[in-house]
Amino acid sequence: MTVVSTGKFSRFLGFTLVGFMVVALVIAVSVLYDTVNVAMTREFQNQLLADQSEVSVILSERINEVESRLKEMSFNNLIRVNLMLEMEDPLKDFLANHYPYEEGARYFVRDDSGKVISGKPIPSIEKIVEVMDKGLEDDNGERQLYRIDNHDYYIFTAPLRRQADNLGTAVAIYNLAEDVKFWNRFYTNRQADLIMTDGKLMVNLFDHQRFPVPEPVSEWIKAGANGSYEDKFSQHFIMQLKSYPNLFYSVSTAPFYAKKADLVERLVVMSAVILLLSIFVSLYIARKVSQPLDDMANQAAIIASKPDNSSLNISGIKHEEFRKLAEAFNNVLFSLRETESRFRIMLNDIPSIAVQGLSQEGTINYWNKASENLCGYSAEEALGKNMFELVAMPDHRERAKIFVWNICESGIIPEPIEADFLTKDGTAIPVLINHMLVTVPNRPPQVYVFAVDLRGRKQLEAELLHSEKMQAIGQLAGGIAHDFNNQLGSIMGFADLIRDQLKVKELELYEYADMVVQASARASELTRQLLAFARKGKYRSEPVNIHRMIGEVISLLDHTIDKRIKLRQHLDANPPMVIGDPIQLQNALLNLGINARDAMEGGGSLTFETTNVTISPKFETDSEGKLSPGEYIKIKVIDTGMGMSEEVKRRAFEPFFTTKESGKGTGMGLAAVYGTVRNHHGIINITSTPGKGTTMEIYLPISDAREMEEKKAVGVIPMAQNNETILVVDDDDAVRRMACEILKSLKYKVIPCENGIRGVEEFAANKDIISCVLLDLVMPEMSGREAFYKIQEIDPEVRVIIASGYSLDAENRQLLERGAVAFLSKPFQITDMAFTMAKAIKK
Amino acid sequence: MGKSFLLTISACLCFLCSSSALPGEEKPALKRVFILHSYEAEHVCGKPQHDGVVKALEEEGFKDGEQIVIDAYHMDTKRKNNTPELINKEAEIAIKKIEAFKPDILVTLDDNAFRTVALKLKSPIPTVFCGLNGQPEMYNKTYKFMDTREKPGGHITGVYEKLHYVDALRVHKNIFPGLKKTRAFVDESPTGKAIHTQMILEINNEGKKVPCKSEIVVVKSWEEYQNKILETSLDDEIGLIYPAALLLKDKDGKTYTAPQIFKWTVEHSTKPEIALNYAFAKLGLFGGAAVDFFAMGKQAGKIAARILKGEKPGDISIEEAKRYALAFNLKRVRQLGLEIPQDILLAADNIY
Repeated sequence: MTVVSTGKFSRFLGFTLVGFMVVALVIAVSVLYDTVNVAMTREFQNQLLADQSEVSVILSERINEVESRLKEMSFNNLIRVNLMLEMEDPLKDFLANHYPYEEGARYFVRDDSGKVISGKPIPSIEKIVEVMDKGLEDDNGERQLYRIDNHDYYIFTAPLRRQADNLGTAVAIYNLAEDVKFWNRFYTNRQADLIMTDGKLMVNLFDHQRFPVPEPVSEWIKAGANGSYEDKFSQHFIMQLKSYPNLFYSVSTAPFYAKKADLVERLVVMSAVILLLSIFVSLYIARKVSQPLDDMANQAAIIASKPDNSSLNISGIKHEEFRKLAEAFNNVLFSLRETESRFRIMLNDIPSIAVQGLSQEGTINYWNKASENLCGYSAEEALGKNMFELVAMPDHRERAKIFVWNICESGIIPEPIEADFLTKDGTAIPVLINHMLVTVPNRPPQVYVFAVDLRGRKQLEAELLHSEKMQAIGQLAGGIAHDFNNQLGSIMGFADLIRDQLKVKELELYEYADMVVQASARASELTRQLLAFARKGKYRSEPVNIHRMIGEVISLLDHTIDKRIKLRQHLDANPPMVIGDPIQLQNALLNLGINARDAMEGGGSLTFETTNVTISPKFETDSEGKLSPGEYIKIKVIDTGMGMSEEVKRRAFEPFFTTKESGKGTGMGLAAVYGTVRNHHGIINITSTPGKGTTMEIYLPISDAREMEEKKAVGVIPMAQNNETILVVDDDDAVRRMACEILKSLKYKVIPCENGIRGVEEFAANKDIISCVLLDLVMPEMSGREAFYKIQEIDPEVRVIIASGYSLDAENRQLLERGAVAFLSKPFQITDMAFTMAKAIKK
Repeated sequence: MGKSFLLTISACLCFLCSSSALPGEEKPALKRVFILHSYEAEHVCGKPQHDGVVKALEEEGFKDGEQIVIDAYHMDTKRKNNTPELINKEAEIAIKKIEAFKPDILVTLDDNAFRTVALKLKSPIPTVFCGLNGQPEMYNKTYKFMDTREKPGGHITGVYEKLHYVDALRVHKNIFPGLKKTRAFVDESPTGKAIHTQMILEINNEGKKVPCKSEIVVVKSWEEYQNKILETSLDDEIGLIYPAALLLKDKDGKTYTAPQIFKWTVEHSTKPEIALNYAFAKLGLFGGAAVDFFAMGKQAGKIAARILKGEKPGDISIEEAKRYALAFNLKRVRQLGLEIPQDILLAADNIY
């Protein structure tokens, strides 16, 4: 059994909410951080780009100013004229006054010989001139910086021309580091550096600090210096200045990371605050949610501890959901109570299953009514007692104790077992025991014992055994009787024919023949009894009035019975009709009467009673299986004789069992009765008390009213109207011959066949002339059933009369349902044959 | 609080009133500058120099009437008092005036004022000469006032008037590339001699850089000058004359000064004349590159300001006049049938 750990729902809900909030918060904060970080980085990059562009613009403006000034200088007439006229001093004076040094820019003139003319001395002028003489690089739109004596100069030139004459060159050198105007604008609202690099060294143009270019930066520059580069070493972002390949705008990463750190700090603080709030809110919600549940659980616990009719109090529940839950709980509770009550009653009142509840030690804590009935102890007597000591057989007590203990320990329910219960009166009752283990948390296990009384079953088993024995005997006797009867039938039939032939010619021979017939009849009677017991001896099926038959039997008995025996009849059944063999039935009643007579040697009373009984579907007889539901006539034959012991009762219907002296009885009387009754779909019961008498009860199904109306016209034997042709199929030569002879005597034409195969062939060949087929069922090679189906295949409308030495059993009925027109019992009698054939041909 | 505040304000006002009325606490005395002209008033050479000195002082923070007091005296040695006797007489007057004025600095314009006054003052006054044509070393022989030009050492320094003669020739040669030869005329006056000496020095200094042949003619009289001019006009090789004879007498003893000489010259000469200074173009000469008296005056004024600011004159080197100007007399240009390119005219400092 899996043990599930439990915890408080409020804690679970609180932790779940907090967990959810934490996860949600982490996701939200991560997304927020990511978004803001990306935005910040983008903003920073944009700012960097904007700053770089602005610086580029400022520098371009400054350079443009210098270039404009230089352009103006190149067009200055005075300069040109002074240069042309070689008025060096005035030119110097002019330059000094009009083109003085300003904001890092110095202007001078070189004449056509390369001589420098400047208003003021220009530092490093020789090297500047040297650079110029080497040729300034073609800037392709990009400004080139020249590093001269640790200063970085932009050098701009403009030709000084007078018409086509080249007078010289106006030159401006611009030292960015000295341009206060530029730096003032550069450092306005900006903390950055402007770096110049030649690929190996980086120089801060403002403070002239030098440092080597880090390898990654160098590679980035070589790769084109696209975008910005974060130099982790110097902790600066670097971006190339637009249009100035040597210049890089450099900004410390510190503010950016400080801003990010600030963001992280804010997010952490915000998260902490939200988390704290979430915890408080979650706990509040959890408490709010669990409180009504706790209240309901407490109430439920009280209800559980006091199983009265109380329920959850919903008046104090504010929220609709919990109110609905409480209402549902109450509904379930009421329903459970109702169900529990119903099952408790059911369990307590169930008639056939004794239920006992036991602790692991065997103490009885439940005891239903069936247990009371079975064991004889009332619930008050049993409850609290030890089960094993109370009802277990003494030599089984220890084993039973261990058995129950093992169930509780292992939880394994064993297969049902058979055992004996010791009842209060000391009787051992066989029972079939099922066990059930009931475990409830925090309670000791409980074993329930379900005991079914096996006494009835045991009895049934014995009866079944007996029945099977009877059936075996019956089959044995029936088999012998069948063959014997066939032979006897031939004897009797031919004797009957002989007798009929001699009836008017040879009176003496006729008597002999009649004696043969009589002897055959007695022999036939014996076989008939055997067949009757074997439930194979029913040959006739016609309406029988039981009351008239009882009258005939009483009449017969009245002449032979001891006068001290009073014969009585109480015939109350209405209708008293059954369908059956009147001879068999009469014999059965006569046998019962004779047996009763024999049981009352000192006199007594013999009473015949009839009543109508309706068998409902639930009705079962005590001893003889189930009767089909329907209307029955109950015939009681009651004597006040010596009665029977149980052993006699048990064996009373066995063939050849008799308590009579040798020679006084064959032992076939009650056996034949038993067979006859069963053959008529009835049952027979014996109720007997030794010394007081015996009552035999026979149940026979009442016949249909229409059939009761149907009566054969006895006296005129119907003959063939048109010499119809009859196909006679029987493997027994004697029977076949007899059947043919009877039919011929009735003016029918016959086609005899010795087996089923031939029968089918003959029918196929002569189906047009064959009016009816007389078909034996029990044949070798091809059975009558198989032949019937084949003949029916040839002609579905064929008229087939089934002939059999056995009674009309289920198999034969099936053939009638499939199209056979009639059933004829063997041995054949002329009358039966005439009526049956005539009826079949008419159909 | 209000009461104490009022008391404090009153006390401050009383202190300010009392301090401004303290006896013996006078405003610092204005520096005194005396400018002595060899020229007469409004002389084409003297006035620009005077204006240049005043302008430079003003630019250096010494405005007349505010930070300094300027007085001047015109000895008129070029036009009226041009004999040695008259000059000396004027020098005495000037000395008296200077002694009376008690200048903090004396500025002399032209050689006569320097030679006859500055070098003769009994008590040395810081002196800045301007427009000195004679070589300082020559004056130093008669009256030692300097050790070297770079560091005079005494109380005198100043601006030596460089003629820029060769420069003037170069400029003219650049305007008129066909120039082959030029002829200069100098008189025998001290100034004339000084000019002559200076021209020779410049030619010697320039050496091969002199753009054309240069000939200097010393004329002793007005008549000789006239003859030489007329003769020169007939000489095709000579393309330019340099009339530096500024004081001539005829056989009758009549004195001819620069305006008169130039008037005659332009009427009779067929050659363009280089003006010794651009003011002479105003007097009718052709023009060209010429001494810029205003710039020279400013140069001297700058030195004077330095002295007023506390530098010793002996520590300030003697300078040459750096600036020369471009000036043309268009009337004379047209008279000569010449044409000066428009851009050059536009670049000229003065066009008359």
